[in-house]
Amino acid sequence: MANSNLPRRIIKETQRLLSEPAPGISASPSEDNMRYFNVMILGPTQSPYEGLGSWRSPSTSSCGVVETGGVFKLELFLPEEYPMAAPKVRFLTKIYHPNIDKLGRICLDILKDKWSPALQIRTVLLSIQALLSAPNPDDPLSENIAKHWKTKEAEAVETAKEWTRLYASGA
Amino acid sequence: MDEAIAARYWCHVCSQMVDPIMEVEIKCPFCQSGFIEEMSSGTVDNQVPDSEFGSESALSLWAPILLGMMGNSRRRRRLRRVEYEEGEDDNDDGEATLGGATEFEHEIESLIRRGRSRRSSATILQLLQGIRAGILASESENSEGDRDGERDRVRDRDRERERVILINPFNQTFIVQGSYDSNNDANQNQNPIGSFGDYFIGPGLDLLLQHLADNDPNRYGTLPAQKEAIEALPNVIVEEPLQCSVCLDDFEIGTEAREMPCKHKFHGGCILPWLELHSSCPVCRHQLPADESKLDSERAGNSSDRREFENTNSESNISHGTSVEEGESEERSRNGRRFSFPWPFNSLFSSSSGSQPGGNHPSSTASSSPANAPGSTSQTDEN
Repeated sequence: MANSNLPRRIIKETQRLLSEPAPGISASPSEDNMRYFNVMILGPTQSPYEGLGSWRSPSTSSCGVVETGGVFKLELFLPEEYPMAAPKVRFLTKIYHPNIDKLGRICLDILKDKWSPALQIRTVLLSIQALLSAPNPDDPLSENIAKHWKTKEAEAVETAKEWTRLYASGA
Repeated sequence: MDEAIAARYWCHVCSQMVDPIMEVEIKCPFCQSGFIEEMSSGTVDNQVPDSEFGSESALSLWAPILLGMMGNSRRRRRLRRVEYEEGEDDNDDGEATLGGATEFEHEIESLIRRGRSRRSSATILQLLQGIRAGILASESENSEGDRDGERDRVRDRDRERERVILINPFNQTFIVQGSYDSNNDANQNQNPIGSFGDYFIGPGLDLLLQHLADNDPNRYGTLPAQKEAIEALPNVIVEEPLQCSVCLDDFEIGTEAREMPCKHKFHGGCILPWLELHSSCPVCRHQLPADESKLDSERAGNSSDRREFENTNSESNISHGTSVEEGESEERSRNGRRFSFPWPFNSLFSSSSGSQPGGNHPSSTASSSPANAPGSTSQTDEN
């Protein structure tokens, strides 16, 4: 597809993502479209999205311990305008989070009006990981979840944990 | 073939239209799942052979172009100009470019010729109508306004209804058309016309609307920087090891960089395209004076003002670093590259112009235009 004409910046970013992955984050480009990345983010510790099991790298696909949660799959696409326009990112794994809706869309300023071409795939994914640690129910994408979060936080956190266990098992 | 066209399928896993594998069970060719739904297509018109649209390559070749025409009015304006020029020329000059897509191109071209008095988006739309049912009512209504030929009225209509061809950015293979109110926030937009909802329900619809909203890089963020402010950015010689945060390349010591008031330095070819879209420093968000004149068009994401702006701009070559770019674009269209867009959208051609030698180095986005390469930043001082 567009691979023959991939901007050098994307190649650089990809190489670095593969050679020096950020902790708890893996992103690997699709074979047939280098602008499409399969992403996995490990739920941050001390968040409701924390995984208890081992982290399986998609590149080695080896796994030791049984995973019990906390591995979130995302897809990331670099539009033609990138880096003048933000990457498009979406959770594929179901997640209970006030800033992520049922389609996996993410309410994050740097993906919208705060995008800057100095940001990178890596920084975007780190920001998403940070969003998991710090849900912001005041700027919700899922009204219901946000309401739940604001009124009964402990209960909402429990639901988030439950969803993590149910859906983010990394299988 | 007729049957193949009549049956359109939607894969609920991939959230896109697919040509399913017809084996024992019907499966999605991408995800192999069977979660596929046949879409009702009672009024499908078989004007367009299915293969042209069903094939991924045809779509991905055309996706950026169609998107450019439909999604971003600024591009559309230029696009239309080029088309009109070509329509008056002998049409032979532009045919050899896109290999497999030439048939499709012919279709478009002939439709453009046939319907010159109409807006090109409307004619393209008619072409694509073959694969989508149900928009007929709004189409006929709209073409009345178009035939009228009164630009202002057309513009007003544009404001009310944006015609859309949409590419799923996750796989670049998906196209849809419909009416869309560009003044609304698409995330909440319950389509006022109703045509999307006729075909896509639930997640599909939501995703489409989101992609729609996201596909215009001008939609979010700060306004474009004032031209005067851009022109005033000094060229400085880089004396220490430094990386350009936009292209991620290191500056060569002794070469020129463009320096923002906040002292952040970038290649001219990297920062100028950004400042044409937004007024903030990529590194620290320091605000350059914004071009308030673009407030309406940029904020509303609507076409008319921007179109006008683009028009004046391209004729007088006011803006920085674009003068050579303009010349280059014209040359390209003469060479048979029929569509030329202002930077940074040149990169849109990365997939469609592969057959064209020259002008396609696999370099960073920023340097796809030689005029903007760091070595030649001095020429931006010319005016």
